[in-house]
Amino acid sequence: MLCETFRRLVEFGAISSFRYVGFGSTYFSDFALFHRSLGLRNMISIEKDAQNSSRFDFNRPYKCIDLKFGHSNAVLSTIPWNVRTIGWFDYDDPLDASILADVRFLCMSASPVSLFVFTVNAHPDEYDEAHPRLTALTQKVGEEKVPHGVQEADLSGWGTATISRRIITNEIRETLNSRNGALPLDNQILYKQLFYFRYADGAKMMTVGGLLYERGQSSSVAKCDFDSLPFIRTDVRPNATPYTIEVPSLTYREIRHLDSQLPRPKRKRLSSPKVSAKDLRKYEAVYRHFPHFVETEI
Amino acid sequence: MPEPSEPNPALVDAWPTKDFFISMLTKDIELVRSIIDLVDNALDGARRLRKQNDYSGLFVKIDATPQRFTIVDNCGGIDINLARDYAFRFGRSSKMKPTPHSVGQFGVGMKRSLFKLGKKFLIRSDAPTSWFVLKVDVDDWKKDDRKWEFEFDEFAEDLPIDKEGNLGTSITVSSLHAAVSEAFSDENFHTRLAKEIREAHTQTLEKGLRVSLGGVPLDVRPLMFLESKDLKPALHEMSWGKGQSEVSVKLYAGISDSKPSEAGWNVFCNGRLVIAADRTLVTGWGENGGKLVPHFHPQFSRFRGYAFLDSADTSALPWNTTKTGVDTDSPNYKSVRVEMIKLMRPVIDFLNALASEKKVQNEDERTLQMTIDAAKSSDITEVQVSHAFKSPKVSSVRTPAEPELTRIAYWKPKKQADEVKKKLKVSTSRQIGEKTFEYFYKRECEE
Repeated sequence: MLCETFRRLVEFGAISSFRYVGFGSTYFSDFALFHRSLGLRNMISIEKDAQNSSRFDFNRPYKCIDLKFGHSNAVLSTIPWNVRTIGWFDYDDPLDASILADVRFLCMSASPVSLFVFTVNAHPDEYDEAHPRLTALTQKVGEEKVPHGVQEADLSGWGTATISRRIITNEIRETLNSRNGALPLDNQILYKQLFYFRYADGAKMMTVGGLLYERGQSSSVAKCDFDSLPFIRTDVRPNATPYTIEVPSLTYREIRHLDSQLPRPKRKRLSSPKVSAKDLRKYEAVYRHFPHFVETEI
Repeated sequence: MPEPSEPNPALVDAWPTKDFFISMLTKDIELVRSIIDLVDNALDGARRLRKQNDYSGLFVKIDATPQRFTIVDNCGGIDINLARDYAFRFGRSSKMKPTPHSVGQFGVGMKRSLFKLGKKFLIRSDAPTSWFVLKVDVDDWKKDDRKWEFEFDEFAEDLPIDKEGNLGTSITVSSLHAAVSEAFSDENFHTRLAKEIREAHTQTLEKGLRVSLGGVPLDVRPLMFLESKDLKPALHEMSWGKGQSEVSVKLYAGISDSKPSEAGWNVFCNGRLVIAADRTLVTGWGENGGKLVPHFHPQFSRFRGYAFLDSADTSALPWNTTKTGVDTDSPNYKSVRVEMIKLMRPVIDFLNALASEKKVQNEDERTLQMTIDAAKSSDITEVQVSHAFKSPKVSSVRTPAEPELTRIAYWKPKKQADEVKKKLKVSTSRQIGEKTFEYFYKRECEE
């Protein structure tokens, strides 16, 4: 889905002219995907585990991936930002002050047009009366970042995701507001949210992100026609509805069988023996983005 | 201010009393700052006189004794119209023609300073086509709350133009307030005053204005950066606004000598230092809870940042009325601050790496320290700059791996602790803790 969205940036020139920055880990799956399907060549992977640098080097799938070792807070400021960048910062951790520092730095520095996506762990802390979730959140992000009025009850279930996304959005807005202070109207940097995903693979994960562009580029942004993509969510209001990624539980045989019926003509029903209607609905929503191969042990 | 001719029963008297006014006016300014404000006034005269920014031959002489305060300059004098319409008026008239690139802006400086210092003041000013003498006894003036004018004691105007003969202003304040008189008898106050004037007007002193305090000239302390092939301070330029109200900004960030008292950001507005060696959130330190930019720490004692904001229209600059700070809510300053943070971050990274390099045993491997030792100190006006701070690649520094640490502290009977000390052959309690921990870990935890 990210890939399909990034393709729309062609309004701003060849996609391959964008740089990709992310956390490749040892798998580099995002890097491999974006290199293969978008042709990105200028790629930087930030890796905090400097002790095992040779292992990361070994696992690098393509030569064009530049590895930078160190904490993202420190590494981001060492790379030049006069390049249009697509960045996906997939943190395994819950939102904290250090992630917000990255958000701020990126919004301060990014060249328009750039697109940033942040994924954080938004699983609520274990219920424990002695240690309220709100206190933990306040300690993690800092008192001044927790929106006024947020209460303990707001953090249960998907609530932590909702609040995390709100805090990240506030950080983006505040930073752009500062950055824009002295800029002429047309050069002011605007934020258009594109992604607001919920996804649970065991832990609840929340993804938020969007486009940073100059006001003067608004018409090109409109031409990208992001809104026609079904998973795009541009509403930045605190209580906006996210796009929930639901993964159906299907076998490969079922998947092939369903694929042969898709895309489904109107009024035609999808069918597969013994697969629940719910899983059918889930699969139809994501089939084009569903992984078609899997790494397996022999 | 006209008085109503007949009493109107519906009117509520809201006239300010002069006592209230003076106390409000002088409350928020420090003594040192009020004297620097008077230097600012002289400097604005110099700006009117010398458009080329070369102030050689011009002087400001300050004398502060427990009996009286005097400040004498040859910076062109105050024109009688300026005195009538502006210099002694409270607040700046919108009709007043501004001095381009001046530091006086709010129309409070001179009066506030004089009221702050004492109860009697005498001003004589010789301008190219006019001169005047003004004596004020504040106690007399305060008696009538309805009469706000001052009166020249002597004056002449529309004289033939006298270019630069003996033009200037002298101000004497006597009947000093007790606290002021006491401060002026304190040598440390003079030291502090000298330091602050020197800092506030570094740029002006560099342009040749001679300022003396008690007959001793204030020397110029130029702004320096360490520079070499591998080490260059960053320079970022930006601007906003058009024409008269265009503000141009130059930001420098780099390293210099390790001096904790001088480290930090310095912000100048039209050459006047308004924030000195700042290490607070105002200039970006501790941004995002210290994650984006750390809180200041002595290992950053080499950091120097200079922000120069200049505008022909003084009111376009984001400073406050006492010129002791910037208006942090100003959108323009917020924008400048963003750039300051971006410039300083690589310097901080370098200084962090420099600090961790100290742990390397072999001195020959301390490459960052060697880079610093090999660099020369250059004046900010001559230093070679780069668009971002240039330093040897920080990531190439190999520092020993450091696992995350936690601190353990506990209380135990002293007698027992002494026995353990003996057994371990150590002398401090800290060593007891470390040795006993290692003993346990080795036997019970190590695989």
